Amino acid sequence: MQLSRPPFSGRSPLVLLVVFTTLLVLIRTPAVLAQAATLDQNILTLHELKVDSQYFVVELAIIPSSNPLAFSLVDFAELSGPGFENPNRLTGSLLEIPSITVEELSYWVNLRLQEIPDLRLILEDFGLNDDEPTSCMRPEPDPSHGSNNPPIVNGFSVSTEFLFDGGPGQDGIPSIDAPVFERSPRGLDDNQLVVGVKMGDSVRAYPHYVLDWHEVVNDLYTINGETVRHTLSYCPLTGSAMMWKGNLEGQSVAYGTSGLLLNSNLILYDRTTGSLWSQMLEQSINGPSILSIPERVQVIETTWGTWSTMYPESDVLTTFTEYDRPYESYPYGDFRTSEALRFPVENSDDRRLPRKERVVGINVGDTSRVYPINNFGSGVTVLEETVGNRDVVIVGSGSSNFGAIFDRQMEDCSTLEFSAVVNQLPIVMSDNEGNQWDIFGNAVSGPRIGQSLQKTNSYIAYWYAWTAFFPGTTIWE
Amino acid sequence: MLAAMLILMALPDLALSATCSCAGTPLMGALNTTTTEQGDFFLSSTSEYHEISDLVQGSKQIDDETGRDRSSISQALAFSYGLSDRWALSGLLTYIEHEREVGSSFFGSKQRTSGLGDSVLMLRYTPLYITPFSRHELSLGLGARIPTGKNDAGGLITFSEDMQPGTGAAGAIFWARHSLAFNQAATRTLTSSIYYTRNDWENERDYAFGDQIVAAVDFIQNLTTRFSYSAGLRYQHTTADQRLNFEVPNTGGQWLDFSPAINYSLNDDLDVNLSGRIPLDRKLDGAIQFTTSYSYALSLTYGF
Repeated sequence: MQLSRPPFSGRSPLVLLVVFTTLLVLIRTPAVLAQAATLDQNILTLHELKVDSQYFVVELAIIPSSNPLAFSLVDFAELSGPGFENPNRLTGSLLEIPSITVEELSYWVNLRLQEIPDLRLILEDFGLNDDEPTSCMRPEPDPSHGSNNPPIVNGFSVSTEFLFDGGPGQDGIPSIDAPVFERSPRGLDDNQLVVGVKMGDSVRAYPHYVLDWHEVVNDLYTINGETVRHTLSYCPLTGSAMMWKGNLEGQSVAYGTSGLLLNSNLILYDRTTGSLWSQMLEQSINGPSILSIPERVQVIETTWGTWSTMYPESDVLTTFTEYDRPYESYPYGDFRTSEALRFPVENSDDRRLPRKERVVGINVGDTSRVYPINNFGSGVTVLEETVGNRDVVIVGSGSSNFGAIFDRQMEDCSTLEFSAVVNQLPIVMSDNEGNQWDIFGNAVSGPRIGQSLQKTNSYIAYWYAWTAFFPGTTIWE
Repeated sequence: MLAAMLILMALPDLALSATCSCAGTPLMGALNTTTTEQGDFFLSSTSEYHEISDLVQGSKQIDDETGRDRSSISQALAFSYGLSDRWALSGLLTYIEHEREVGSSFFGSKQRTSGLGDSVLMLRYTPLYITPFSRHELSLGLGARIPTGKNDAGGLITFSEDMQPGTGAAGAIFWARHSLAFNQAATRTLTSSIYYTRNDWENERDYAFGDQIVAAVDFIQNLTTRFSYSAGLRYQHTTADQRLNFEVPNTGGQWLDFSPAINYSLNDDLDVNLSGRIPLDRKLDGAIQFTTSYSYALSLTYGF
């Protein structure tokens, strides 16, 4: 997106249209920015606003259908002191935002304070910052084996050699489209695995014993007052769980099970275009959306014991699913503990680890590496490594049964150094700046409170599945 | 007498599962095992419809809210030729169609596969006949399932094993049947049969179907010289299918079916037979399986 500096008063309708369209992009682009100002949905957050010698954190909301674009004050609080090198400033009635990053481009924005009749700020001017780069924000992780443009053969972006019909047919394994949650689950013991999500004000756990029978949950989350569909998927055959934002080119989208498997891994289909989506590749592999990448949400797979310790107020997905299934039974016999394969997979001879060993893996371009959960040992282990061109931090625990990988480089291009925090779950790491980070990679205390570590293409899966999708992966011993 | 013999042939319905135990395409039900004398030649054509839409957890049928409809239709051409008064050769060629539909599927996709199915060749030995002087008949058979069937249906995306017309692997068949006539004219007989299929071979996708034992008991009565009926019980035990020597979950189990049939001789050479199978009880392995709801078959047999 290239923007020229637009005029704002007495401008032609065409120019205003360009400006308005640009602002719509700004509004609709899900951005999580580490600069002094960030835009998320319709909320503009000024993490630091300098007014004379005082500092404030301010939240502004875009006033719908306003033209010129206007903002109303939502909330503010005084800060104890400065934290950013280049804060936002209010001088007279002019509010200057020196840097806000959208789609990897940095803009400056000027707002004008108007107090009559109501307190509001009007967009006065904005433009592209000249000094590059000002941001190290990562785009959505590209998990496509480092190949952004794989050849499309017979409509597929992947080889069909290990693409099979699983047997049940499309929606033969029914998704849960109206999930019911409860606070105090019955029959869930501490050793059972759950997939945990923390988003907005919601903290939810999706037990494997429900997911084993449905694999896809189309759920709703309320974020900043807006209800947004998200889809959680779990493949029992590869032990991998993902959550994707249910958004396809601006449209809300739900997913279902296609009945197909790639390397024994779930292939979803979207109910808008019918495109097929590989769960572990996190990419559409066939159909109108081919090569599209969903917006992923960090999930944590761990035991109920660990999860409920971290988030005792968590909502838990129940078995009230409208389907008559024997949830007390695991549907695949001894599959998760044996060396059995249910379908042929690529690279099945790679037996460096037991096939069903649970690993947290990361893929960066042509490089991938896995960290067996059991190898993390007791307590909390924090590792700093370079995988491909990414400096990453790996945090895991064998005894508490979790593992996650984040980018060490922040969006402001600084690289943090981490160390483990024990016995303070969900806090698992601290850094050289004095921040503390929870298991989802969110800063919960310190100068970066409210910020998040950048996502990586990483998740937990069975070893055989990981090496099938990412041959040549290395193993942390 | 021919009618009684033909009904013996049709009743045991000894399924050679072309697929997993829950979705078998029965072959042996169509195999002509009519007792033959030297030079006798029988040719039969059988059409069977097999509905496989019951969702069962162990022994309990549970609701399938997905509205799944799964069926198979097999067309079989079978022959039996008397090599001598005691030795006979039977053979079977099949053509299989599978259909699968998930009613609740968002896009309502229906999928079909079809193609040449597996074949069977069996050598039979009959040391004991029902005669005016003997009310017992005993036949033994040894055969093979020949993987002539199409096993890569689906094109780009290969369908699951249960949707393939053929198994893609050979199998060995052991068969025995005993009949007891209650009267000299053999108008009432009790037939017991047992059937064992051994599947030690994997197909190209490293898949091997489970071994299968079928035992059946049938009572047959000729009401007239042209019309007869039968009623019987059929027990089947199938071990789990295997892939790469590991059991495939949710395959295998035990089934008990009621199997009625009627037979009518249109003339001295041509018989028509209608038979069916209704589940009485089942105890299936794994968490859940889709399994037989019912099946029926119509066959015509011509004796040369």
